[in-house]
Amino acid sequence: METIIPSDSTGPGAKEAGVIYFIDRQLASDYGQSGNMFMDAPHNPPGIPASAGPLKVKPSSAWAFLQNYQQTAYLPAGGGGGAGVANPISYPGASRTYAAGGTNYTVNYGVTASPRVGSGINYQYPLNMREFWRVSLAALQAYSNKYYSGNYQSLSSANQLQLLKDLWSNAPKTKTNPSPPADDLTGFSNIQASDFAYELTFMTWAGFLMDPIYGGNKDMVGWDYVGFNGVNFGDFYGEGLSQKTLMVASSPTKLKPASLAQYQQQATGGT
Amino acid sequence: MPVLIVPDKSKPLNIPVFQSRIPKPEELVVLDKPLLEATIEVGNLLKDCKAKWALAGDIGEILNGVNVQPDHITILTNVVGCEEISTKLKGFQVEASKLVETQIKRNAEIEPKPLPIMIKSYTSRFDLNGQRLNVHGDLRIKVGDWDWGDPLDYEPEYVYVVGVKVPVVPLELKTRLYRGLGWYDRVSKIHAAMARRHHKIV
Amino acid sequence: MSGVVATELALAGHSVVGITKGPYWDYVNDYSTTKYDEWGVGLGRKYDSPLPLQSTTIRNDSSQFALPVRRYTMPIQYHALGHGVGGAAQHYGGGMGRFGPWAYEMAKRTSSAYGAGFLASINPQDDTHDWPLTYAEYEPYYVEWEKAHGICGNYNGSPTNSPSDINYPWMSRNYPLPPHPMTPLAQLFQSTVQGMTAPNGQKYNPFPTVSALSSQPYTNQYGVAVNPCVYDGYCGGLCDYACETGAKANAAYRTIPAAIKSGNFTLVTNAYIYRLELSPSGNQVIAAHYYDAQGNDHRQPGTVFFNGMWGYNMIRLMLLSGLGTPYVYNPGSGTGTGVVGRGLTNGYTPYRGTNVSGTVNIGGNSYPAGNGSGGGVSVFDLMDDNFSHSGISPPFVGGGLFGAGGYLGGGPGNITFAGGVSAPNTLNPNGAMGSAFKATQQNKYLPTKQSVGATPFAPDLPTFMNYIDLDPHYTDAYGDPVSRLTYDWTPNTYNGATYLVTQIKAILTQMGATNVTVGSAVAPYSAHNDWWGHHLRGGLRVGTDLNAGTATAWAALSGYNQLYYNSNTSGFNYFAAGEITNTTGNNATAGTHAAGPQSYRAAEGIKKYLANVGMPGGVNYLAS
Repeated sequence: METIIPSDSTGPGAKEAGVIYFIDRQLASDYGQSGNMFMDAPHNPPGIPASAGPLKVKPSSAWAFLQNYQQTAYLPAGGGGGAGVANPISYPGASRTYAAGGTNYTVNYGVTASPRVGSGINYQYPLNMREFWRVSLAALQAYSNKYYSGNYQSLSSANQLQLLKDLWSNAPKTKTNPSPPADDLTGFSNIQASDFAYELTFMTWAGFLMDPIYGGNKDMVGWDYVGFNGVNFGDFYGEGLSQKTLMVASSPTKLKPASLAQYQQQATGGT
Repeated sequence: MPVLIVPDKSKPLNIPVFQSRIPKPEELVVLDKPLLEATIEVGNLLKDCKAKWALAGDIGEILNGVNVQPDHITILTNVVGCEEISTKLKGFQVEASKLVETQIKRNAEIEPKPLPIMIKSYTSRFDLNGQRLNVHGDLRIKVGDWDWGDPLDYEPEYVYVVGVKVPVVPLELKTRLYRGLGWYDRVSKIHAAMARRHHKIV
Repeated sequence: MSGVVATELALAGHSVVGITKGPYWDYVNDYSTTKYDEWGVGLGRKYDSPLPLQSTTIRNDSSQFALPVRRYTMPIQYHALGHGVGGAAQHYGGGMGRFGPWAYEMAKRTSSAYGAGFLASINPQDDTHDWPLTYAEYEPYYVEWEKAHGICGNYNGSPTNSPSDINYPWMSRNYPLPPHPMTPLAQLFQSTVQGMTAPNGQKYNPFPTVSALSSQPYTNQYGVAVNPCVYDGYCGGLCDYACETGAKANAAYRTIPAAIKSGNFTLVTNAYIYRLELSPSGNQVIAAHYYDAQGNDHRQPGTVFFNGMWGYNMIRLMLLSGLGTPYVYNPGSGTGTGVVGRGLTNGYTPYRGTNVSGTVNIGGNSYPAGNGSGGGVSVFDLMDDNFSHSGISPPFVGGGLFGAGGYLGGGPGNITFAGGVSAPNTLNPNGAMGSAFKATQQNKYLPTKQSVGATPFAPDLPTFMNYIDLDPHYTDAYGDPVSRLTYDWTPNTYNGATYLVTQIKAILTQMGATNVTVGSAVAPYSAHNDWWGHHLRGGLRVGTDLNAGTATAWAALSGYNQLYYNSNTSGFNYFAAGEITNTTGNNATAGTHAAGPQSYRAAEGIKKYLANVGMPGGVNYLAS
């Protein structure tokens, strides 16, 4: 995490903010258990290249409960396979050329949807977030040892940054030969390294900038750094400022941040 | 034709559910329609009124979100305003403006014992489609044996009622009044409304 | 939308039951001290529809395997459906604005202005159809909707705020509340464009951006008292918060209280509707079935039903219940048959495409201060057919509502505001990592200048290839198939960008912006992975062509005269809202409330139906 947000001349970093505590607590709680996530099978990772063969997936048993005519109505284009649980539905992917505005555009559609990094449909693993971190951290360490001559924490800061950039570019996948089977989730061949790079970076920044009630952003150092106010709406410490003037100002006014815990205390008459 | 075919609920339910509390009718701040329409009409008719006037009483409070149930409209103004309003609402007038002194129903709840409350004002009454409107000019209050207070004065605040802007007596004045009279139940109603409005206990 | 129907009918003396899958939020107790929580509320979406209950799958093309939305959290997850009374309007940014006359007759007007084959030539597999009524016929319903919700604005585009001045779309009466205070950037934009000539040869007509966040204490036509906005900034923008004062207009704070007070309304919450039951003859809906929070089964009969569920959930319920003819797409022919699920379009397309930006030396506070839709100014002169599209290349129809100057702090998210956690790129070679990037975040909430720009787009047009159906592989918690969205941008959105960018560049230059830069054009479909599902519309539209939509202009499903539905999903087209924005990306979405008048139409239609049938009872409204 210190690689991502280092302590430097501009201000404190992930270490001072206690980002590690934020991540630790989240992974130990509902977030780690994927409490508010949709975890059903089948799991198909996105980004399967257009050149991959068609994907055949069996329909759910719920599908069989729908009347036959409804099922046939919903069969995917080019899917075939007939209705019912027994017959897999085939997803071939397509290459299409559209004419629009006098120009032809050719688009290659892979067999699965192609999401933007981090969007809700990117995470498609059968692992909950806690397991995802565990597996990914182990894979990161293995990669570090194999290609950078040591554990991550022993690398130079330049190499540490470079290793994380490798994850973003999915370098580990190309370097693993031969590829393990598709259900082997112990390394970065079947887990996209960029998915973990994203998660790691995101959670580090979250730990830096979320309310201290979650364990990070200790003493609001993160908020202080970015100039965020938390729940100080202009008068929390008696500054006497109002939202209405702050919102139409043409130059900024820094407010000392206040946290949710402070706010709740004040609201229930603590101060 | 498809009829109800429901799959087995094979999955264990592990869904976060928030407690739902449906408000009871008496908790909701909703103004009755006939009175609402009368208020809009008053607001329209008095749009160009030059004298200072404002909706007072329960109607002034409910338009600010206080949970009360007015059954008539009250306007607080000065003597000049009384005349002007009488002119503008001529067709609805049922009682011309005259100086009235009366005791109100509720007493001041002050230690050691409750005291009667007298009010004195230039009062005129109106009827808008069955809804009562009382206009008070230069309203003064006397508690027990104490002196008459000065005519109530205020800087009006504004609320909108379906597109008509109307002045109301500020809640801050009402709060001071109620405190002075010992009507703390009314004070807490106003406070509850302000808590809902400002998300902070004032 | 359902709130309107429920309240109108309850106040008319009918007995109404409302069923919704979420709770009745007690906003003072649920939000007051907990909502200022970006992690739990803004990113974790704890007040929104839980994903373990149901999700949706999405794909760009019918040949693909659609993947389910598995998690919230970053980037702002717009599949966070509403949950509970008020629905998604619990947490939207409050952008409001009417569709213009052009939008209701787009096919007809385009045909007469640019030729009969024009639409088909610019929109592959074009499936555009007009609304059954014109703007003039919907106008009175807009008025009712705006009164009920306390919409803030001035006569659209009238510099003197009077109906006699030019404004668009014209209004028979003004908005019930005045607009929010303007920011310095909005003032600059306004004074600049007032002196500029728009493509139609007249001066631009700036007006305050229309907002559904009340600006003053307000009482609506149902007598419901409404609190004014306190500008706490935890509003719209990238994290979409709920509103603890009730200033954010939705059913819970505008209509339902009056329904409850009438005594004719019963509300059932935490109730998950899974089927509508049909009569033995199959042409009447007779009951709704739902599970309560413990998973027990319930049956609620009724005379008339109004389906006010969120977009694709509404379609999903119809499909699960076997109502109407399901839409089937045939990629070989590039056409489709059927009605339910057809014509999915998007109203908000922040793809990373052609854009223009510049820097203005106006600073401000971009930490939470303000609200999600006030403060800014908009112009209509670059939208609809308000300028001639003849000879423009590449060709397109429509345009966008452009605005600038919304509150910088009207709902910023911390992580999202960072520009997203992105991979290493040309701007940030180390992505969101390391000292150099960290330094860019220092004091980012205290800007001394702003980047102002737009990624404009023209309307997303209905085609045969964008639709909603049921997913064969994924189910909700109760075992029913989830909805599947097949959607990709239509070329019209991109083709309009080239032209619109030129206009905006001129405005920026005139405003005195420095470093005005135009990005490169992006070909259609190459950015198709940007998914912003919450502004999707379509799937079950009203219209006059029975084969393309339902026939009734009363928002009833054709063939089932007592099933009405929320036509937020029945918009054919949606004129896009390109924007000149500040760095938080406040937008001027227009047409969000074209659905509002539809709910009043539905209410009126239901009253007529009940009057004819002679039964005063039993209306069910099904919210999200």
